[in-house]
Amino acid sequence: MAPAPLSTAPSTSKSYPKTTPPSILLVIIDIHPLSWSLLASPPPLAPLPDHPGIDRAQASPMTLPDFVTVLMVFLNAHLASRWGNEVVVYGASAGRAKLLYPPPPNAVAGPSKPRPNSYLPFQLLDSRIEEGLKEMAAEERDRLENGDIKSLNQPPAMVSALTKALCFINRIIPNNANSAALIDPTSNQDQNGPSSSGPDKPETRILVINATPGENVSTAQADSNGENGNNANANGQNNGESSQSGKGGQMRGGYVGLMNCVFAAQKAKVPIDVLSLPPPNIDASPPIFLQQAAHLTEGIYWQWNGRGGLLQYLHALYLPPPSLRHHPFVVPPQDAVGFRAVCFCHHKTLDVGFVCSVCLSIFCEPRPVCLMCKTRFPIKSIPTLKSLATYIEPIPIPDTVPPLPVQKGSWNNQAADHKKEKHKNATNGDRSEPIEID
Amino acid sequence: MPSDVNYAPEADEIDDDDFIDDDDLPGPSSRGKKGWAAGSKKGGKGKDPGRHAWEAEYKKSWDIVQEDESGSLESAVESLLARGRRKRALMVDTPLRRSIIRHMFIILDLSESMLDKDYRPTRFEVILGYLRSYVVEWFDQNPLGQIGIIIMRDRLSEVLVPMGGNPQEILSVLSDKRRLEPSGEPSLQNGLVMAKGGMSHLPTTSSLETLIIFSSISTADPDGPTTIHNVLEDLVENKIRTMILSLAGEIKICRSISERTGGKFGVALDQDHLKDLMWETIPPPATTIAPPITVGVRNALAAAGKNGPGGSGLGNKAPNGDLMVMGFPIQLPLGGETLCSCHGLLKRGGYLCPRCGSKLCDVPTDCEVCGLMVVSSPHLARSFWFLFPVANYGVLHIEEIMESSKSETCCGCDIEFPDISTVDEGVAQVEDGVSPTGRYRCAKCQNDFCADCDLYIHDTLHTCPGCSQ
Repeated sequence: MAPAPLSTAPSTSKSYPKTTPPSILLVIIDIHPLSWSLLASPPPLAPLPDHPGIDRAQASPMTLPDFVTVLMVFLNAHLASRWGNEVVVYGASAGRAKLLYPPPPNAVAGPSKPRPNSYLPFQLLDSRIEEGLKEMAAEERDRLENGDIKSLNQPPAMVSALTKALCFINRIIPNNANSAALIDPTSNQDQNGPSSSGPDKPETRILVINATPGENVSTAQADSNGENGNNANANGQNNGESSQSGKGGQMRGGYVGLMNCVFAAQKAKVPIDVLSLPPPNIDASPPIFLQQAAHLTEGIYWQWNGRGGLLQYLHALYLPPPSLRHHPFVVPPQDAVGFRAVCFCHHKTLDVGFVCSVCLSIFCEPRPVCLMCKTRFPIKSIPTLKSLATYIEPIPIPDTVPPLPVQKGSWNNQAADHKKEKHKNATNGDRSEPIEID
Repeated sequence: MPSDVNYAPEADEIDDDDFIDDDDLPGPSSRGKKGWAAGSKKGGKGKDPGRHAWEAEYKKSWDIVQEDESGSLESAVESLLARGRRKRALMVDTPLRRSIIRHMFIILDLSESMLDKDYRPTRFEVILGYLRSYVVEWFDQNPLGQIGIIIMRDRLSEVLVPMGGNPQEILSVLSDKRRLEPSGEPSLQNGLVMAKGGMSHLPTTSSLETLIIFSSISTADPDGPTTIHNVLEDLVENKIRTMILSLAGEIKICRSISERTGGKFGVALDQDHLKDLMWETIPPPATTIAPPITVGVRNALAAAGKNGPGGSGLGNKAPNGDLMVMGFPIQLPLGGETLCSCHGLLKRGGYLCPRCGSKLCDVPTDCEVCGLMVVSSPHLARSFWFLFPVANYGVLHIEEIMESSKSETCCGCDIEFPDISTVDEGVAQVEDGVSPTGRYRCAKCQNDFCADCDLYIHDTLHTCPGCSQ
C-alpha cells in the first residue's frame, strides 16, 4: 500500500480526517561506529540446514552514508507532506548524544549559497545533518586518537537522546492536560484523545533508528556482541574488562532510564517508533527494550530484513502521522513482545525474577536483604525460592507474526480488529477498506 | 524517617509559626504559599499569629503583581511562575522507603450536604470531576495499587466499586451520576467499618488506606454497643491509614481519626485547595505508620525530623518484606485464536507464562498452571524512579557561569540560555531557589539545564539527560 500524500487524504467518506495537524518528527539515529562497521560488512548467511540446495538471499551491506541518503529523502518527504511539518534529528554515538538538526542558534545559519533549483528547507536540512554527522565522526576519531578507546565500548546513548527529545517536546508543547483539568474540574478532560486537541496543535512522534545488534540497546553486552563479529579494531583485547566495568552505571541508567522515558512519552502521548536495522543474520534477538518502548507508546516496531528497500519501508511505515496510522492506513502487524526485565544486581535480562515486596526491585537470585531498600527477607524461604528458580528454562518467543494474508478477506479482518482495540470510539470501523491507489 | 511523607514537603514551613497556629490545615496550598510569601515580601498585611485565617484581611491576588521599570508585567509574572515551579521541584526530596503496593478505599460522603452550591456548580459535581482525574493519576503513579469506592448516604454505606485495579471500571461507575444521587445523612462509622471489612483479607505488607471525602458536618452513627471510638481503635490496630478531607469545616472526630491512624486531615478552602489536598495523597506514603499520637501536627513533624536521618526509633526497624518470585510474560500479537488457560476460551492475543508457557488472558495474575505470579515488567518499572531519583539541580550564579560555562544551550531541550551579560546585578540575589541566570546545574554530570527542563525532568521524566550519557 503506497502512502498517499498526506494533506490530500481522501475526504470522500465522512470518517476520514479532512486535515491533520502539522507533525514534528524527532529522529534519533544510532551512529555507533562499531555497529555500522558490522552493518557495512554483514556475515554471510548460512544456508538452511535442511535444504542445502536453497540459496537464501544474502543481506545487502548498508553503510552509514547510504543510509543517511535514504534518511534524508525520507525527512524531506516528511517536510514536504504538509506545511508546518518539522524535523529534529539527534545522533546517538558511543556514550554521547547530540542534537544534529536544527542547528544551535549561534551557529552560522544556512549553507553558504542557496542552490537555485532546490527547495531551501531541504537544502538546509541535508547540509546541516551532513555537517553534524561529520562533526560527530570527527569527535569520535579524536576520542579514539586520544587513547580513549574504552569509551567506544559504551553502548549508544539512546536514553540520553530520548530524554533530550522528550525535553524538546515538553518545551514546544507544554503538557496542558493538568492545567485544563484545574480550570474545569467537571469536564471530562482526562480522556482526551488526539481529537480533543486543537487542529493546530502539532503532533509529535519519535523515530528511533537502532543499529546496534543485541538484545537491548543499552547493555554493555550489546557491545561485546557487536565486536565479536569483526574486531579488526584495536579494542579487541580489552573488550572483556571494559564492558564489565562499564556495566554497572550504564545498565541501571539504561533500563530504568529507558522505561522512564517510555512513561514520560506515554504521558505526553508521543509514540516512539522503532526501526531496528541489524538484520536477522547479524543478530536474531530483537532489541526487546526498544520493542517494549514501541509497544507501550503505541508506536511501530519493525526490524529490517537486510535486503534493501529501506526507503520504501520508511515511507510506507513511518511517514503517516499518528492520527492517520490506523485510519485510513494500517500499521504492520506487530510481533510478540517479551516483557522481560533487567535485574538490579547482575544486570541480566530475566524471564523470571525475584522481586522485593517493599520497593519492587528485581533480582536474579534469592538474597537475604534487599539491595535497594535494605529490607530483610525471611531466611527460611530462601531455599524454597532457590529451588523454584532452578528449573526455569526460558521459553522461546514464538514465531508469532501472523502469516502474510493470502486472501484479502483475512487481512481486512485483522485490520478491523486492530482498530477495534486501539480506537474503540471510531464509529464505523467495519468499513475500513484499505485504500486502493490507482 | 518522616512518619507521614505528606508532611515532608511542608517541612520548610515549620519555622513559619503562624502556619500551624492559625489554620488547621496540614499544609497550605502552593497557591496560598505563593501569595502569602509575596504578600509578606511587600511588607503588606501579614497575618499576626493570633488571628485566624478567616479574620485576615482579604488578600487581593492582583496586588502581588508589580510592574517592572519598563511598565511591563511580563517579568513579574514570569518570576512568580518560576518561583512556584522551583518550589514544587525542590519539595520532591523524597525519603527512601515507600510502600508501592497500595490498597485504598475512597469513602465518599453522598449526603444532602453534597448538593451545597459553595463549589460551583455543586460540591457533588466538583468532587466527581476531581475524582475521575484523581483515579487516573493515582493509577498512573501506583500501577500496582487497587482502589475501591464506598459511598455513605441515608446513614448507610454501600460498596460502589469493590477493590480493584482497573481504572476504567471505576471511571465508568463514577460517570453514572444517577447511581450517585446524594441523599440523607452520612454515617462515618458504617463507612469505616465497611472499609475495614473490605480490607481485612489483605496482607499487612501492603499499605492499607482510606481516603474520606466528607462534606457533612455531622455523622449519624448506629445506636449500639460499638461506637465510632471502638472503630477507631480497630483501625489503629489494623494499621489502616485514614485520610480525611472535609469540605465544610474541622470536625473533632475526623481529626482524631486521621491523626491516630497516621493519616492526615485537611479542610479545603476552595476548589484549588481541595485539588491540592487530594493530589497530595497520590504519591505512595512512607511505609512506617506513625505511632498513635494525639498531640498534633507539630509533634508529628518533629518526630519525623528526629527519625529521618538517623533512623532511630520506629524507622530503625526494617519493615518485614518478602521476596516474591515473578515472571515476566511474553505478549502475543493479535494473531490467531488460541485457548487460554484461565477461562478455557478461544481468544486472540494474551500472555505466555514464562515458566510453563500456558496462555493467560491478562496480567498481573497468578498463572493457572504453575502458580507463578506473572506481571508485566513495565508495571514494576513505573515505580523505579522512587529508587533512582534525580538529585535536585543546583542554582548557578553569574560568577560560576563566568568561570565554567560549558555550553550556551540547555542540555535537555537545546534552547539557548539568556545572555548572562543582560542579567542585572541587582536582581542577582537568589531567592526561593530561583536561579538568577535561568540555569540549573546537575551536580553529577555538570550539565546546565533551563527551568522548564529542570521541572520536567524532576516531575515527569525522572532521568537526567546528562547523567544517562
